[in-house]
Amino acid sequence: MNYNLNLNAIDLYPEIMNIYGDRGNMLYFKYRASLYGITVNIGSCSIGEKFDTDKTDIMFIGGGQDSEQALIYKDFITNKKNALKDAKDAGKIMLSICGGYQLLLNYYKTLDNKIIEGISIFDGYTAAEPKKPRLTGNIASAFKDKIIVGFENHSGRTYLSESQQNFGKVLFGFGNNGVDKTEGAISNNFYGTYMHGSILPKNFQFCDIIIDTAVKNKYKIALNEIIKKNNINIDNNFEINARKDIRDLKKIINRTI
Amino acid sequence: MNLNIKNNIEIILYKFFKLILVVVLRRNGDVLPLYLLRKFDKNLVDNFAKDINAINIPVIIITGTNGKTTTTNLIASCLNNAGSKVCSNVNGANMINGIFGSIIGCYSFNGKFNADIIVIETDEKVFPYVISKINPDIIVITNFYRDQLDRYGEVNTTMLNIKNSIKSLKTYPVLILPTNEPLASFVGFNTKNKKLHFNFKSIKKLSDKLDDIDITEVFGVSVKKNSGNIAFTDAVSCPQCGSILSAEFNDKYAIIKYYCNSCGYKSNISDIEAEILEDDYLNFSFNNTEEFFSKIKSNNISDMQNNINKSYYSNYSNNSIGANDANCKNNCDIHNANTSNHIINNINKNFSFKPSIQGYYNILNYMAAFLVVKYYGLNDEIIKISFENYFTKFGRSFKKTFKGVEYNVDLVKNPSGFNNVLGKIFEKNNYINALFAFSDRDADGRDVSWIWDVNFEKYIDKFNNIIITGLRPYDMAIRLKTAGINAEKIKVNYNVGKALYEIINISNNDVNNNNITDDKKLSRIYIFSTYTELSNLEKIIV
Repeated sequence: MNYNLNLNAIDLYPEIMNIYGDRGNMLYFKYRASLYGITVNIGSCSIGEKFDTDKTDIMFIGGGQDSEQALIYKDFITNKKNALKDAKDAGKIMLSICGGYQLLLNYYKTLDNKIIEGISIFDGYTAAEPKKPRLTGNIASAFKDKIIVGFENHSGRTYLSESQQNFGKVLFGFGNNGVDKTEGAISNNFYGTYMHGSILPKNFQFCDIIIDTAVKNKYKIALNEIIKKNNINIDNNFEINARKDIRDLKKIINRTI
Repeated sequence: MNLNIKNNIEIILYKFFKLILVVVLRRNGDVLPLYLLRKFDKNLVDNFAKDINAINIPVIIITGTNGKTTTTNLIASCLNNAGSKVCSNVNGANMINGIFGSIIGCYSFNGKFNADIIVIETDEKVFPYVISKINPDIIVITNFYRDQLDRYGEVNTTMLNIKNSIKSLKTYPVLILPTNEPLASFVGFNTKNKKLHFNFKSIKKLSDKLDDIDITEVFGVSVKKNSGNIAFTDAVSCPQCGSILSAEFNDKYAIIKYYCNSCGYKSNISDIEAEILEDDYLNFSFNNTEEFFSKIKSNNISDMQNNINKSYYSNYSNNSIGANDANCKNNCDIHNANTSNHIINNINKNFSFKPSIQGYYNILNYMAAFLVVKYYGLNDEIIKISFENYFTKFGRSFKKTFKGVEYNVDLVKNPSGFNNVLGKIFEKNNYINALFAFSDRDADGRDVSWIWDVNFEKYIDKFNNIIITGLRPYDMAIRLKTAGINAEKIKVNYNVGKALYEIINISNNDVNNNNITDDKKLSRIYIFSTYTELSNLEKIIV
């Protein structure tokens, strides 16, 4: 290896926001980065703790149970809000899933019409709409020229403001709210999405995009350069076949955008 | 008699359909017959439920995330051995059609219910419906962990639905609950119901707090200390007030105590505690035998106890086993003596046995079953015989040796269950050849994300060769590769039969080439299967 590359990741509230297997994102990110000769150190940041934006390259937050998410609302505003806003402006990366994504919007309106304040990284809000069914199932969306696949399972419906960029256009499934065909949100290098799966192992090309951003941020080098210089060849056979195994998405997965 | 002529015909039709399915078509006929009958008779469940309630026979309902089938079968096996005719869905068909199918199957053609006791495992989602129809005497809750979120939603909601459905009953069934699991235990919190609790014996205290403990493994919950202190649990917030729970663990990393510093919700004192003795023996000790007796001594249960004891007594009166211990309480027409004292004497402080199924998690299932049958006054000898000779069901710590190959089959359906199974297997094995049968049909859970919460990282050196089959094999392949298992050791074959054949060949070669040292020269295969793949495997293996 010609490089000694290190990335620092932070897992936010790992013991609380952890129910849908979203830690697979961190595990896979670390694994895939290691194939390129990049070492990823994962640290955690939970209630009452702060993290140093300058020393962090990527942040992860997953989905939690409603009852447990309530534990972190206050702390999120007090201890994480400013650091995350700085991180976004500095071009750092964040991957937020489901309940974690909802915290990055303006607010969440609960069943009893209570407003839970978010940190407005993304311009939009989420509402619990009890009379409507839960949005559950396999999902595919178009993000640039890539098809992103995953599994969504949420009762809250998210509505983005007109100026807010979405993460993808829904090709199959529900997305943010089941109506407007948008899925997730993007702001700078912050991603919000409803996709579990986990999303990174399901979408290795998206994982590469994130790794590329991270090494460009920190080392001013593109992932392609690293691959070329070190003559790296990755076997994506498992990853490609796993996408083909999703029967609901069979017609979509082979499509080119 | 609440049954009408239509119902009588339904009994005949049910038995006929089932016979055709099982004998002619060689399928398991647990669900389909009732599914068809209910299409034609919307009142079917109501009518049979009313009849069961009217004849007033004891009903035991078992629910929870993991351990339902094993607990149900342990109870049924004890009661069977005690001479009772048991009606039970022992095959684990635990939705409405499976449950009421088992019940209708126990009727004779003349419309008479032909069992002394009903022992039913119930899916968590249909539990509220089932107990609203059939009055339970005892409800066993095994545990609540995250499970197939696409089907059940969040685990706290599942638990609260169950708790509320019990609260809304006009009767007060006895609740049998673990004190090491805050969600399951909460079902009994602030209820008038009588409760019996079980737990592991506290041996060694590791830490005071759940949130600052430095652990790599916690029993029953998916925990991973990957980089940094990351502890994953299924119930960190107090079900009563939402604050963070604190917990104490024993030397096996099982939670033995928990408490909420905000509202005071905490684990109950257990009626029995389990301890592992030498040579794999287990000991259950009563905290207080007299207190336990006072809990089980109540008028409304004496009928049930009599019911059991009648048949128990008649079955064993000519047999040395238990004949002298047959317990009948007042009003027992066979055994007239006033025997309430007899029962007190009969509850021994300690109960030891050598379990026929391994795995730390199965200790909890044994304890729950033990409390149920103790509640009905079964004596220790019958229970010991039943527990020690219990045959596992396919997919529940199942083991079979055939032509030099030992098949070990475990159902895996959620992170806590999978972690438990891995823990059990690697307690006794250095490395294994494994077959994963991994699918995402409705009954498996359509979301496969949960495998990322299984702690494979802990065992990467212990897998020799891996074959994966099912509908979603490559998701599992990525998971195992990411955990650090060499991708070249992982192969996929969509055909279950061929996949099994492949792993047998590999394993046989290993034994022949002495790659795996085994004094018995036995080729061992470990199979991890999701629910719907089990029946495919069962057809080949059993």
